[in-house]
Amino acid sequence: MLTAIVLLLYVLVVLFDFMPAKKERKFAENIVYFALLSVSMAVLILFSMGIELPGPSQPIRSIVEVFVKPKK
Amino acid sequence: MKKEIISLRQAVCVMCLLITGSSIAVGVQTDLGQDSWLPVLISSVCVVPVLFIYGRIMKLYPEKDIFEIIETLFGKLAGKIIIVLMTWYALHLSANVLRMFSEFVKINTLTETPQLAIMIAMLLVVLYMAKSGIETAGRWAVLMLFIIAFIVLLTIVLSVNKWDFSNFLPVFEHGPGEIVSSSYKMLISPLTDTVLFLGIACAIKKEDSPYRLFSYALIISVIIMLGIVVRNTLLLGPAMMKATYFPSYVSVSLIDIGDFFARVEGSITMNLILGGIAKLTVCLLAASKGCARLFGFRDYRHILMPVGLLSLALCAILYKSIMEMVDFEDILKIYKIPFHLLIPVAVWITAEFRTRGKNPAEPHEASS
Repeated sequence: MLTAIVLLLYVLVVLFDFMPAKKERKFAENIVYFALLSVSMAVLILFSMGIELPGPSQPIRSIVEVFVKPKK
Repeated sequence: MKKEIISLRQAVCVMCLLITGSSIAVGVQTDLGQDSWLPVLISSVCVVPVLFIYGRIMKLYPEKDIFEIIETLFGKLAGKIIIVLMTWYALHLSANVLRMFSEFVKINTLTETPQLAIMIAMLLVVLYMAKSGIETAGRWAVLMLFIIAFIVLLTIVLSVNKWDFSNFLPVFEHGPGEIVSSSYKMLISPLTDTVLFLGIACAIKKEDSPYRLFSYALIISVIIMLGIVVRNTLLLGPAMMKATYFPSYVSVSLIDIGDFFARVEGSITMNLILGGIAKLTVCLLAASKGCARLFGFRDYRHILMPVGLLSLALCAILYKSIMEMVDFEDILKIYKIPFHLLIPVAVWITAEFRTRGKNPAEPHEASS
């Protein structure tokens, strides 16, 4: 069900956001648009299927702890 | 692209919502229990030099956003690296805020609804607002700040029969170390979250003083936050405040007048949504402007939607649970230092040197 919602969201985005302004955008803008859209769609579909993906929190924690160990 | 301009009053309201957006529902720092009001006051004094730096950057480069300023000052390569960092921060903060709001709604109201559905619903509203532009966000903020302040005031007045002044005792129970630590947390977030406002600073007119903007926003926000913290302490007491994730929601749920006026906590949810929309809008506008500058696009609105959806994807995988989110706050208070302090200070110092060197006759305004 969640995957269907995500897919529907992306169909609506392409229909109502991408298509109407497609000609106003330059080629490079369209490429970046689709690249960002594809990344987010891949992540959200996997997430909606219950597949656990690595988040940015652990790398951020590791970087911060190189400099300072936060006190609890 | 038509230049977007907002008035000083609208900018003040946007900034107030940026500062108080999360505090309204989540509550202000509760580490110090009955002394929680103290970090609000201390941090609001300590933040003044930082806000002065932000204001000075805006003054030196009027009608320009931080990304444009960074590129002007640091050139293409170093500039792009700093823009990547600031854009990442705006995106990460937007994901963080969205996550916090979805956790709030999931825990308190829509317990059976999948969290992703809550995030999507919230994000679509925010994207609609951001797509409408900074001017719309400014006009909207004026009305919403009034409503939010009114609701905070109303909940304080309506809870008068439940006030327990002994909740403030013993005063100054905590040591200087704890007070400094809590004040620092308050300073780093939400008070210096205002750095993201520099991302939309191009909408502020040259004639409007950024110092006045930051001063008014700070004063109004501190009054609202003090109101929230005093209300929560009077109603909940130190132990209960520390025990709950959302003290404002719990404290307002205690309001009960004459057995017929109850369930006022719905107003807190409303406040949260209104404040959250404003904060998220500013974050997404800043992230989109950063992305547009990074790739050399003229109109940030062209990539607003994919940036918003990227924030949604990031939000979904950010934390596994609310416990992890709360635990991560200790990391965030250090992680935010480069974005809130180091980069703005570097920009400010470079801007001072560049503007004095280039145009000594007019040291307060850069020509480009």
